[in-house]
Amino acid sequence: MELQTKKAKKKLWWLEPLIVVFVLILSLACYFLFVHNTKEGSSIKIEAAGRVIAEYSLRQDRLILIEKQGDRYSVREISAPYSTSDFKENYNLISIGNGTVRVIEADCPARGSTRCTNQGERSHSGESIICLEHNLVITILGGEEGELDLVSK
Amino acid sequence: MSKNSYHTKKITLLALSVAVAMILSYVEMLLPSLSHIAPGIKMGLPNIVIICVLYLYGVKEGAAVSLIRVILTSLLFTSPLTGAYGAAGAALSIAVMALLKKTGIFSMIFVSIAGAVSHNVAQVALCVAITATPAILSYLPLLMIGGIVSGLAIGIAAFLLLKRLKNLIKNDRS
Repeated sequence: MELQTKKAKKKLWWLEPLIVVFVLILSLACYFLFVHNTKEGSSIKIEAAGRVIAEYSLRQDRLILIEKQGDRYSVREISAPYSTSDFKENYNLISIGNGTVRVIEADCPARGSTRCTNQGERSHSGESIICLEHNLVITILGGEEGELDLVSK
Repeated sequence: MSKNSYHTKKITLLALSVAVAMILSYVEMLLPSLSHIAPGIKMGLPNIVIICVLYLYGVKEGAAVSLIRVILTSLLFTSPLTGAYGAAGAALSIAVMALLKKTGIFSMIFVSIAGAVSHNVAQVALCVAITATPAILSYLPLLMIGGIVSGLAIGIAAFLLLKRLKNLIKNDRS
Protein backbone atom coordinates (compact mmCIF):
# COMPACT_ATOMS: atom_id res chain seq x y z
CA MET A 1 0.00 0.00 0.00
CA GLU A 2 2.86 2.28 0.82
CA LEU A 3 4.32 1.83 -2.66
CA GLN A 4 1.03 2.63 -4.37
CA THR A 5 0.61 5.91 -2.60
CA LYS A 6 4.20 7.06 -2.81
CA LYS A 7 3.69 8.65 -6.22
CA ALA A 8 0.57 10.46 -5.09
CA LYS A 9 2.38 11.62 -1.97
CA LYS A 10 5.28 13.08 -3.94
CA LYS A 11 2.97 14.97 -6.27
CA LEU A 12 0.86 16.40 -3.47
CA TRP A 13 3.61 17.22 -0.98
CA TRP A 14 2.35 20.80 -0.78
CA LEU A 15 -1.23 19.86 0.04
CA GLU A 16 -0.83 19.13 3.73
CA PRO A 17 1.24 22.19 4.72
CA LEU A 18 -1.11 24.32 2.61
CA ILE A 19 -4.23 23.10 4.43
CA VAL A 20 -2.58 23.41 7.85
CA VAL A 21 -1.26 26.91 7.19
CA PHE A 22 -4.61 27.96 5.70
CA VAL A 23 -6.56 26.77 8.75
CA LEU A 24 -3.96 28.32 11.05
CA ILE A 25 -4.20 31.72 9.33
CA LEU A 26 -8.00 31.50 9.25
CA SER A 27 -8.12 30.75 12.99
CA LEU A 28 -5.67 33.53 13.81
CA ALA A 29 -7.63 35.98 11.66
CA CYS A 30 -10.92 35.00 13.32
CA TYR A 31 -9.31 35.30 16.72
CA PHE A 32 -7.86 38.74 16.18
CA LEU A 33 -10.84 40.09 14.23
CA PHE A 34 -13.70 38.81 16.36
CA VAL A 35 -12.44 37.53 19.69
CA HIS A 36 -9.30 39.30 20.85
CA ASN A 37 -10.29 42.18 23.01
CA THR A 38 -8.36 44.15 25.57
CA LYS A 39 -11.26 46.33 26.65
CA GLU A 40 -11.98 45.88 30.35
CA GLY A 41 -15.48 44.65 31.04
CA SER A 42 -17.87 46.40 33.39
CA SER A 43 -20.26 43.65 34.47
CA ILE A 44 -20.90 39.93 34.32
CA LYS A 45 -23.85 37.93 33.13
CA ILE A 46 -24.47 34.48 34.59
CA GLU A 47 -26.36 32.12 32.32
CA ALA A 48 -27.73 28.73 33.28
CA ALA A 49 -28.88 26.49 30.46
CA GLY A 50 -28.96 29.52 28.16
CA ARG A 51 -31.12 31.63 30.48
CA VAL A 52 -29.72 34.67 32.27
CA ILE A 53 -30.07 34.09 36.02
CA ALA A 54 -28.07 37.01 37.36
CA GLU A 55 -26.04 40.09 36.46
CA TYR A 56 -23.45 41.80 38.64
CA SER A 57 -21.20 44.78 38.31
CA LEU A 58 -17.47 44.09 38.18
CA ARG A 59 -16.69 47.27 40.10
CA GLN A 60 -17.64 45.95 43.50
CA ASP A 61 -15.83 43.01 45.10
CA ARG A 62 -18.05 40.16 46.22
CA LEU A 63 -18.58 36.43 46.49
CA ILE A 64 -21.52 34.93 44.66
CA LEU A 65 -22.74 31.44 45.49
CA ILE A 66 -24.77 29.51 42.94
CA GLU A 67 -26.44 26.30 44.01
CA LYS A 68 -28.11 24.04 41.50
CA GLN A 69 -30.94 21.84 42.63
CA GLY A 70 -32.45 19.87 39.81
CA ASP A 71 -33.19 22.39 37.09
CA ARG A 72 -33.37 25.32 39.48
CA TYR A 73 -30.52 27.61 40.40
CA SER A 74 -30.35 29.74 43.51
CA VAL A 75 -28.02 32.73 43.51
CA ARG A 76 -26.93 34.61 46.62
CA GLU A 77 -24.05 36.67 47.89
CA ILE A 78 -22.01 35.41 50.82
CA SER A 79 -19.29 37.00 52.92
CA ALA A 80 -15.65 36.13 53.27
CA PRO A 81 -15.19 33.50 55.96
CA TYR A 82 -17.14 30.63 54.46
CA SER A 83 -17.01 26.88 54.66
CA THR A 84 -17.74 24.84 51.56
CA SER A 85 -19.43 22.25 53.78
CA ASP A 86 -22.28 24.73 54.36
CA PHE A 87 -23.08 24.84 50.64
CA LYS A 88 -25.70 22.63 49.10
CA GLU A 89 -24.55 20.07 46.57
CA ASN A 90 -23.81 21.24 43.02
CA TYR A 91 -22.41 24.63 43.90
CA ASN A 92 -20.14 27.15 42.21
CA LEU A 93 -18.58 30.00 44.12
CA ILE A 94 -17.74 33.00 41.98
CA SER A 95 -15.42 35.73 43.17
CA ILE A 96 -15.39 39.25 41.80
CA GLY A 97 -12.39 41.33 42.80
CA ASN A 98 -10.39 44.18 41.26
CA GLY A 99 -12.50 44.14 38.12
CA THR A 100 -11.87 40.45 37.42
CA VAL A 101 -14.01 37.40 37.86
CA ARG A 102 -13.07 33.79 38.58
CA VAL A 103 -14.69 30.64 39.88
CA ILE A 104 -12.91 29.77 43.12
CA GLU A 105 -14.87 26.75 44.35
CA ALA A 106 -16.97 24.09 42.64
CA ASP A 107 -17.94 20.57 43.57
CA CYS A 108 -18.16 19.22 40.04
CA PRO A 109 -16.21 16.09 39.11
CA ALA A 110 -14.54 17.70 36.08
CA ARG A 111 -10.76 17.75 36.21
CA GLY A 112 -8.00 19.30 34.21
CA SER A 113 -8.68 21.80 31.50
CA THR A 114 -12.47 21.60 31.47
CA ARG A 115 -12.79 22.43 35.18
CA CYS A 116 -14.14 25.94 35.72
CA THR A 117 -11.88 26.67 38.71
CA ASN A 118 -8.89 26.08 36.43
CA GLN A 119 -9.99 28.68 33.94
CA GLY A 120 -8.37 31.53 35.84
CA GLU A 121 -9.30 35.18 36.05
CA ARG A 122 -11.21 36.96 33.30
CA SER A 123 -11.61 40.69 32.95
CA HIS A 124 -12.04 41.58 29.27
CA SER A 125 -15.47 42.09 27.79
CA GLY A 126 -16.67 39.14 25.75
CA GLU A 127 -14.60 36.59 27.67
CA SER A 128 -16.35 33.77 29.46
CA ILE A 129 -15.90 31.03 32.03
CA ILE A 130 -17.71 27.79 31.34
CA CYS A 131 -18.76 25.21 33.90
CA LEU A 132 -19.97 22.32 31.77
CA GLU A 133 -21.09 20.10 34.59
CA HIS A 134 -23.51 22.62 36.08
CA ASN A 135 -24.39 24.13 32.72
CA LEU A 136 -23.23 27.61 33.72
CA VAL A 137 -21.67 30.25 31.52
CA ILE A 138 -20.30 33.45 33.03
CA THR A 139 -19.79 36.11 30.38
CA ILE A 140 -18.18 39.49 30.85
CA LEU A 141 -20.08 42.38 29.38
CA GLY A 142 -18.54 45.64 28.29
CA GLY A 143 -20.24 48.95 27.75
CA GLU A 144 -21.65 51.23 30.35
CA GLU A 145 -24.13 49.13 32.26
CA GLY A 146 -22.80 50.97 35.28
CA GLU A 147 -23.64 50.04 38.82
CA LEU A 148 -26.87 48.30 37.99
CA ASP A 149 -27.18 45.16 40.05
CA LEU A 150 -29.88 43.11 38.49
CA VAL A 151 -30.69 39.85 40.13
CA SER A 152 -33.59 38.22 38.39
CA LYS A 153 -35.23 35.01 39.48
CA MET B 1 1.22 -18.71 14.16
CA SER B 2 -2.28 -20.17 13.99
CA LYS B 3 -5.30 -18.02 13.32
CA ASN B 4 -6.61 -18.63 16.78
CA SER B 5 -3.53 -17.44 18.59
CA TYR B 6 -3.31 -14.45 16.25
CA HIS B 7 -6.80 -13.51 17.42
CA THR B 8 -5.86 -14.00 21.05
CA LYS B 9 -2.85 -11.79 20.60
CA LYS B 10 -4.93 -9.14 18.83
CA ILE B 11 -7.54 -9.06 21.59
CA THR B 12 -4.82 -8.82 24.20
CA LEU B 13 -3.05 -6.00 22.37
CA LEU B 14 -6.29 -4.07 21.90
CA ALA B 15 -7.12 -4.44 25.60
CA LEU B 16 -3.62 -3.26 26.41
CA SER B 17 -4.16 -0.26 24.12
CA VAL B 18 -7.34 0.66 26.00
CA ALA B 19 -5.43 0.46 29.29
CA VAL B 20 -2.57 2.62 28.00
CA ALA B 21 -5.02 5.16 26.53
CA MET B 22 -6.83 5.36 29.89
CA ILE B 23 -3.58 5.93 31.77
CA LEU B 24 -2.69 8.67 29.28
CA SER B 25 -6.08 10.34 29.88
CA TYR B 26 -5.36 10.29 33.57
CA VAL B 27 -1.83 11.63 33.16
CA GLU B 28 -3.29 14.41 31.03
CA MET B 29 -5.58 15.49 33.89
CA LEU B 30 -2.53 15.84 36.14
CA LEU B 31 -0.64 18.07 33.70
CA PRO B 32 -0.70 21.81 34.39
CA SER B 33 -3.96 23.15 33.03
CA LEU B 34 -3.83 25.53 30.09
CA SER B 35 -7.48 26.38 30.42
CA HIS B 36 -6.82 30.03 31.26
CA ILE B 37 -6.12 30.28 27.52
CA ALA B 38 -9.26 28.42 26.45
CA PRO B 39 -11.33 25.94 28.44
CA GLY B 40 -10.82 22.36 27.37
CA ILE B 41 -7.48 22.91 25.65
CA LYS B 42 -5.25 19.85 26.09
CA MET B 43 -2.59 17.64 24.54
CA GLY B 44 -4.78 14.70 23.55
CA LEU B 45 -2.23 12.12 24.70
CA PRO B 46 -4.63 9.14 24.32
CA ASN B 47 -4.72 9.88 20.60
CA ILE B 48 -1.18 8.48 20.29
CA VAL B 49 -2.64 5.07 21.08
CA ILE B 50 -5.75 5.54 18.93
CA ILE B 51 -3.67 6.48 15.87
CA CYS B 52 -1.38 3.49 16.37
CA VAL B 53 -4.36 1.11 16.61
CA LEU B 54 -5.95 2.78 13.58
CA TYR B 55 -2.81 2.20 11.49
CA LEU B 56 -1.95 -1.23 12.87
CA TYR B 57 -5.41 -2.80 12.79
CA GLY B 58 -7.99 -0.55 11.15
CA VAL B 59 -10.98 1.70 11.62
CA LYS B 60 -13.20 -0.74 13.54
CA GLU B 61 -10.51 -1.48 16.09
CA GLY B 62 -9.48 2.18 16.40
CA ALA B 63 -13.08 3.29 16.98
CA ALA B 64 -13.67 0.52 19.50
CA VAL B 65 -10.56 1.34 21.55
CA SER B 66 -11.38 5.06 21.41
CA LEU B 67 -14.98 4.72 22.58
CA ILE B 68 -14.22 2.13 25.27
CA ARG B 69 -11.47 4.45 26.51
CA VAL B 70 -13.93 7.37 26.76
CA ILE B 71 -16.58 5.33 28.58
CA LEU B 72 -14.18 3.79 31.09
CA THR B 73 -12.39 7.09 31.73
CA SER B 74 -15.65 8.89 32.42
CA LEU B 75 -16.77 6.12 34.80
CA LEU B 76 -13.48 6.06 36.69
CA PHE B 77 -12.19 9.62 36.73
CA THR B 78 -14.85 12.11 35.67
CA SER B 79 -18.60 12.13 35.09
CA PRO B 80 -21.18 10.99 32.51
CA LEU B 81 -21.44 14.52 31.12
CA THR B 82 -17.69 14.84 30.63
CA GLY B 83 -17.89 11.40 29.07
CA ALA B 84 -20.50 12.64 26.59
CA TYR B 85 -18.16 15.46 25.54
CA GLY B 86 -15.33 12.98 25.21
CA ALA B 87 -17.49 10.65 23.14
CA ALA B 88 -18.57 13.44 20.79
CA GLY B 89 -14.96 14.49 20.28
CA ALA B 90 -13.73 10.93 19.90
CA ALA B 91 -16.48 9.95 17.45
CA LEU B 92 -15.92 12.86 15.04
CA SER B 93 -12.16 12.58 15.45
CA ILE B 94 -12.01 8.87 14.58
CA ALA B 95 -14.41 9.37 11.65
CA VAL B 96 -12.29 12.17 10.18
CA MET B 97 -9.04 10.30 10.75
CA ALA B 98 -10.42 7.10 9.18
CA LEU B 99 -11.66 8.99 6.10
CA LEU B 100 -8.38 10.86 5.59
CA LYS B 101 -6.37 7.69 6.08
CA LYS B 102 -8.53 5.90 3.51
CA THR B 103 -7.74 8.47 0.80
CA GLY B 104 -4.14 7.32 1.05
CA ILE B 105 -2.65 10.70 0.20
CA PHE B 106 -2.24 12.10 3.69
CA SER B 107 0.57 11.45 6.13
CA MET B 108 -0.02 10.16 9.63
CA ILE B 109 0.95 13.53 11.08
CA PHE B 110 -1.68 15.30 8.99
CA VAL B 111 -4.27 12.69 9.99
CA SER B 112 -3.37 13.37 13.63
CA ILE B 113 -3.76 17.14 13.20
CA ALA B 114 -7.14 16.70 11.50
CA GLY B 115 -8.22 14.36 14.30
CA ALA B 116 -7.24 16.85 17.01
CA VAL B 117 -8.93 19.80 15.30
CA SER B 118 -12.14 17.85 14.62
CA HIS B 119 -12.16 16.65 18.24
CA ASN B 120 -12.21 20.27 19.40
CA VAL B 121 -14.81 21.30 16.84
CA ALA B 122 -17.17 18.52 17.96
CA GLN B 123 -16.78 19.47 21.61
CA VAL B 124 -17.41 23.17 21.02
CA ALA B 125 -20.48 22.29 18.94
CA LEU B 126 -21.87 20.04 21.68
CA CYS B 127 -21.09 22.68 24.30
CA VAL B 128 -23.00 25.34 22.34
CA ALA B 129 -25.91 22.91 21.95
CA ILE B 130 -26.06 21.95 25.63
CA THR B 131 -25.52 25.36 27.21
CA ALA B 132 -27.50 27.16 24.46
CA THR B 133 -24.85 29.88 24.51
CA PRO B 134 -23.48 30.68 21.04
CA ALA B 135 -20.88 32.99 22.63
CA ILE B 136 -18.81 29.88 23.37
CA LEU B 137 -17.98 29.77 19.66
CA SER B 138 -15.51 32.55 20.42
CA TYR B 139 -13.19 29.92 21.87
CA LEU B 140 -13.15 27.97 18.61
CA PRO B 141 -10.23 29.79 16.91
CA LEU B 142 -7.93 29.26 19.90
CA LEU B 143 -9.03 25.65 20.25
CA MET B 144 -8.33 25.04 16.57
CA ILE B 145 -4.83 26.52 16.87
CA GLY B 146 -4.35 24.35 19.98
CA GLY B 147 -5.56 21.35 17.99
CA ILE B 148 -3.03 21.99 15.23
CA VAL B 149 -0.14 22.32 17.67
CA SER B 150 -1.05 19.29 19.79
CA GLY B 151 -2.05 17.24 16.75
CA LEU B 152 1.39 17.88 15.25
CA ALA B 153 3.15 16.77 18.45
CA ILE B 154 0.90 13.73 18.89
CA GLY B 155 1.29 12.80 15.22
CA ILE B 156 5.08 12.83 15.49
CA ALA B 157 4.93 10.77 18.69
CA ALA B 158 2.57 8.23 17.09
CA PHE B 159 4.77 8.03 13.98
CA LEU B 160 7.87 7.25 16.07
CA LEU B 161 5.98 4.72 18.19
CA LEU B 162 4.43 2.97 15.20
CA LYS B 163 7.80 2.51 13.49
CA ARG B 164 8.81 0.37 16.45
CA LEU B 165 5.46 -1.36 16.94
CA LYS B 166 5.13 -2.42 13.30
CA ASN B 167 7.82 -5.09 13.61
CA LEU B 168 6.03 -6.54 16.61
CA ILE B 169 2.76 -6.98 14.73
CA LYS B 170 4.34 -8.06 11.43
CA ASN B 171 6.00 -11.02 13.08
CA ASP B 172 2.59 -12.29 14.21
CA ARG B 173 1.12 -12.61 10.76
CA SER B 174 3.76 -15.01 9.46
